[in-house]
Amino acid sequence: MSDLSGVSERDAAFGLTLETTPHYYGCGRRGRAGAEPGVVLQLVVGDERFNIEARRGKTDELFISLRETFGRAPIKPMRTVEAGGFEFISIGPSRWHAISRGPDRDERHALLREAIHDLATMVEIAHGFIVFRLTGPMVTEVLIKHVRVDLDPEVFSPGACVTTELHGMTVQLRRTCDGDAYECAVARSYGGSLFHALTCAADPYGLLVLPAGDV
Amino acid sequence: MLINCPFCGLRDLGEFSVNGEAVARPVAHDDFDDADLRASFVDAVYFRDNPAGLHREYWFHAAGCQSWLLVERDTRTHDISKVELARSQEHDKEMTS
Amino acid sequence: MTGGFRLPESGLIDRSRRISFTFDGKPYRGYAGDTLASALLANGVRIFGRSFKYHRPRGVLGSGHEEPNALVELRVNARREPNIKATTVELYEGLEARSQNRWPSLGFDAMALNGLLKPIFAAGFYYKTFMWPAPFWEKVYEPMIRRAAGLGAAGVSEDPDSYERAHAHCDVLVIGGGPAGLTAALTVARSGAKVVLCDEDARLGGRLLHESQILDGKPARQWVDEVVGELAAMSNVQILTRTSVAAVFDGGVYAALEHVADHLVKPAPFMPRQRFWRIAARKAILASGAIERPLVFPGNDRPGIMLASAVRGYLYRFGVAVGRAIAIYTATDDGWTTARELIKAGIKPVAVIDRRTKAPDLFADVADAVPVVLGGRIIAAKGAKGVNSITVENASGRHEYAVDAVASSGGFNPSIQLASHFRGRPAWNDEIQSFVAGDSIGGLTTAGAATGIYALGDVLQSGSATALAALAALEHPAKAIALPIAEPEATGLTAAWWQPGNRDTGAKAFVDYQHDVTASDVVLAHREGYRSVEHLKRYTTLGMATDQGRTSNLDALAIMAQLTGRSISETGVTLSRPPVAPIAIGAVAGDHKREAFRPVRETPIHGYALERGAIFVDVGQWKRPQYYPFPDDADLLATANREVNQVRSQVGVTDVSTLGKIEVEGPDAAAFLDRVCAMRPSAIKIGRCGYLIMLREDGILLDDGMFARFAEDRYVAYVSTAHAASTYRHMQYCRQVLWPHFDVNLTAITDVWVQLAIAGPKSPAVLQALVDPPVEITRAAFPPMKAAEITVCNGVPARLCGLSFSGERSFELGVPAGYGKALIRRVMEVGAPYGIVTYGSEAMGVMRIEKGHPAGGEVNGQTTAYDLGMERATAKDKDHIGQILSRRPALIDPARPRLVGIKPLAPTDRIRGGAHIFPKSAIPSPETDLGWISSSCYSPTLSSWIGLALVSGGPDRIGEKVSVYDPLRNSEVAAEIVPSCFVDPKGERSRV
Repeated sequence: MSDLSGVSERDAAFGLTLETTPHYYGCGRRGRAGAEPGVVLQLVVGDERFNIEARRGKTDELFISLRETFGRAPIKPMRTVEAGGFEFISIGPSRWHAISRGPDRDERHALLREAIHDLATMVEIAHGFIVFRLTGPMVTEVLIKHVRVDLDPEVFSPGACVTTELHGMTVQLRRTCDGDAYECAVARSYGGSLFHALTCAADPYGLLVLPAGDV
Repeated sequence: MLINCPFCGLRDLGEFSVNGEAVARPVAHDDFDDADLRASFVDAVYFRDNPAGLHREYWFHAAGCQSWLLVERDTRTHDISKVELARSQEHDKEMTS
Repeated sequence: MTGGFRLPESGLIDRSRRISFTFDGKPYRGYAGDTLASALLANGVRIFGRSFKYHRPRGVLGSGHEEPNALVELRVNARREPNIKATTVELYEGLEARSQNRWPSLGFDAMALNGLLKPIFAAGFYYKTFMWPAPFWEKVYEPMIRRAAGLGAAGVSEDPDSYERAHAHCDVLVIGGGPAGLTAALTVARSGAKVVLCDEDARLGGRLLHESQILDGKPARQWVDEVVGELAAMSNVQILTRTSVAAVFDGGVYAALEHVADHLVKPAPFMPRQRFWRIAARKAILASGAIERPLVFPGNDRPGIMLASAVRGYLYRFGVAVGRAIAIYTATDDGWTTARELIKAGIKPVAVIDRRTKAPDLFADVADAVPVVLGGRIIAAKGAKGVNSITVENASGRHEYAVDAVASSGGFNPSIQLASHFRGRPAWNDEIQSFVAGDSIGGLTTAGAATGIYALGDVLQSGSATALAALAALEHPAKAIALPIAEPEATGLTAAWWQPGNRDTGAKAFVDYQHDVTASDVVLAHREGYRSVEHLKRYTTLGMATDQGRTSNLDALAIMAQLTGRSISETGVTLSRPPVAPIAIGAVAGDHKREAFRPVRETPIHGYALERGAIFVDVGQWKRPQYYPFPDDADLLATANREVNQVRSQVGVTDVSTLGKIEVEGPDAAAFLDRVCAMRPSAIKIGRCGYLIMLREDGILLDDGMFARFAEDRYVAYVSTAHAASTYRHMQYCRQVLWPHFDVNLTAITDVWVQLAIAGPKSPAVLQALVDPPVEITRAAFPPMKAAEITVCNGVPARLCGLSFSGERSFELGVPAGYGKALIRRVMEVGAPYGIVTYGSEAMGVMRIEKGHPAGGEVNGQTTAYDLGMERATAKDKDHIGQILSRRPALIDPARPRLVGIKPLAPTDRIRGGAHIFPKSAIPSPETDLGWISSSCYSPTLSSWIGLALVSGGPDRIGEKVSVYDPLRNSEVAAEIVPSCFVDPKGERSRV
């Protein structure tokens, strides 16, 4: 099991244990046997995620404030902007998800709240999502079985992010800014179905499912 | 069929749900039982032109950016001539910058 | 006559790889690269099946998807598949095929007697012959026709193979890998634009694989290899062989089927049998070629009578001669090319019979080598198990020829099915005597032979030019490619349709082989008034078989045109519809099957409920725990009763996470919600809950639920499970479309929070053990309808509402979903001293009926707030959705079906949802109907069956004795109309 430092820190403080491995999540090698798996899948835990939606007419002011605080503003649709320890992904008109991982969360959040103050609605939504991280040489072959948007690596470049339909579910699919991995997020209740859809699609290439962890 | 969502780009029909003709909601005044007012709501709720040709309709990008879109579609050919966010365009800057 | 045989040397088959297969149980051998049809022809097999209606012996007509006759059943057991065209089946080791429509054997078919019943089975026979007596249709006629006329039979067990979908995107999709498709693809590829090239064959080349053309002085095959090699090496090119583009949809979306493993006995592990592609293409080039049409003459369906181009194809690609004594019957120059190829292969044709009175130029070598009959016509073809003689007539008289095959060439029809999927009306082209695609529509343009251009040089040029035009339209820079030089090619022809009016009645002149439609059927349709092409098609079933009339439609139209004295153009043509080639349902379904048929939603405590042995019920996509049976519970009812009793006497916990949760935030939140909702959300105090009622604009209830107001500018709406998605969409509509000026944002948070309802007299004690200090769960400190953001279990953020759906003192507790499993475990721990139980949706449903709360059966899209007794909660003095139209007299008519309770006079008499209510002793009829039961259950609290009902004038009938009639079960129960709240109507229990 990977080190869930961010999570276990909170666990120690809280009297309830965070569920890190859902009942449907089976680890290990599956599908076609072979030396190297074509795809590696891992459930990402420990993400923080905020839904940010600008107040009416305040989008520009929000950009300015974020730029002043973090040095950059997430202005491009369906792209990721890394700033201040957050990945800001633009998911709709005047709507973003701010995702962050790792230590110093409280300081980071305070800074974000301060930058946003009354310019946007900010709702913590991390628990509403299940996120699978996909790596390996055959990831795009797996995804094109399900995803109708163009995943040509030149079109869907590092940092790209779309909300789209996948096997009847609405998913948020993004390519990490280093370009090495894809992350597929879905409303928590659909996690089992998405896991099933992705793992079945990946089986022909040999799949390794890693224990849930903070990547 | 594809709809060119102003935010998300070309997306498959299956990601959207349609709400029918784009009809303006009548403006209500204080007398809610006024016959003309009621008639205007009846007209807006029940009566549809169903033209063979250009049709303005609302679509919701449910499996995408969750925007309500105003779509101009030719009912004879399904050709879509225009798609814009139903909510007024304060986001123009964001789109182009 | 002996039929076909394999030639030495020639062909694209791999003679080093012999392949064994069986047809009707008999072993045969072929080569790698053969089709089932070519291998059987090489083995001298002539009869491939029996025809649809008359069970006439049939052989192979063509060499591809146009094949109407040679349909076989392929494979065995669960993989058995009927109606496969032998001409499209790649031969593989161990292939097992069977002929169809024969009983008891292919050689002798008892059903061939149908041939003698031809007058009965003629066009329109379904409509005329079997009309009377009426009861006979179902019992006698239909089963008989189905047995006699069925095509093959599908396997009955579950398909063991897997199918998958895949998605591709490109600038230009090229459909067809023949000469035009290859130059088109190469032009696009070299420009750097993205191209997808699809061909239904296993190898690219199209007609160049079937013919002996020369390009740049070399065999055309060599040019194909070079181009394919170049394309395959380019990263912007995706080549899909064995892939039929089957349909085109609006916006440049194409459906294609890749036969991944159809050329194998069974798919390799992890290999799908077929892959269903969705290809989004900005432009598409339809280079699907052209299909030859046969000439229509008496006996033209006898085995051995084939398309001339197919004869040439078998010769050149497969090294198969279809016969030893072949006659050429032609109206085209192309027929003469076939004659020349046969001569070259050492199989000198018996004769070339040309419908034209003048021999075409450029074929003097052929005319010198074989007898030529000009202005000739075949008036009879004989041979019970394959053609053995033909009678030919021309100005100089009649000749009889002994033959074992006839190569028939009536001209070529461009394959424009895809273009006409897209409302493209085909246009008549006099020069080629066929229809071509109309104008380019939706980015799809035809090229090559599909446009009616047949000379190879022109075809190559057309592909390249079409690609350049497509790239120009995409504003993608491109250069013309150097095209190879082709030799001149003669493409002349004459119109040579079957003509009515001479001695030939057309009774044995087949137009549509697969559906057994003859020229005389077209005559009959005309005589009976079915003259429009659409009527002709339906009356005769012309072109409605699996070959989609590729070889038949035009001949029938031409006959109709002559009968009606119109041109073919005026007669018109039917459009084809998807799919161009058959698609297995499994391929369309892909991996949407069994448990993955559609996605399911699980609540955060699903894993816990599984551990507890919960039984789940489907509520939309959700899996909800329905009940938690104990080992000694007799049934669902016993469990539900136990759970209800425990909640009402002690305490229980249930999962209500499926309820929709929408956070409404912003300075205008209250003002916005006042417009959306029929009650007055602005009047809900901070830290309190309030009822939620939303109407549709027509005044009907959209949904009901609860609000919690946590701050001046922040509410959470809890809406019903069933309506959660549509309510959210509706609220977004109000915000984005109707009232965009409100400064308010909506965030869907259903999945963010786990929500547990903890209900029962002991629930405060359980809650007290969960909440962190200083929160106190007392009557005074946390009364019903209080809402608070607190922490529980040592710091976990929580939202707690004093809400009751059961009528008991009750709380709804939410924490972030990831803590859900731990929370319910903790609840069960701290609740154990109080006898806490988990209860499911069944017990919850019972308690809500006992309390008279409306749910799905009542908020059913027909009822109003007035009907359900909620009108007092609605505001009459503000403009909200539904305000104006809900005031219409018909929607506030006391006689409307309105909510009441109903109780049988004998508590053990079961009443069921859906049963109707009638006045006591009235005869059940629509006139006496008072309403219906919308929900019912057994109430352990009252020890009686109870129900909620929508009854005309309901609340005014309290105390009335009525009859509950269930027409489905034909039961009648005496009952009484009672108030809708059965338990604790004053609400005292919820306030302890």
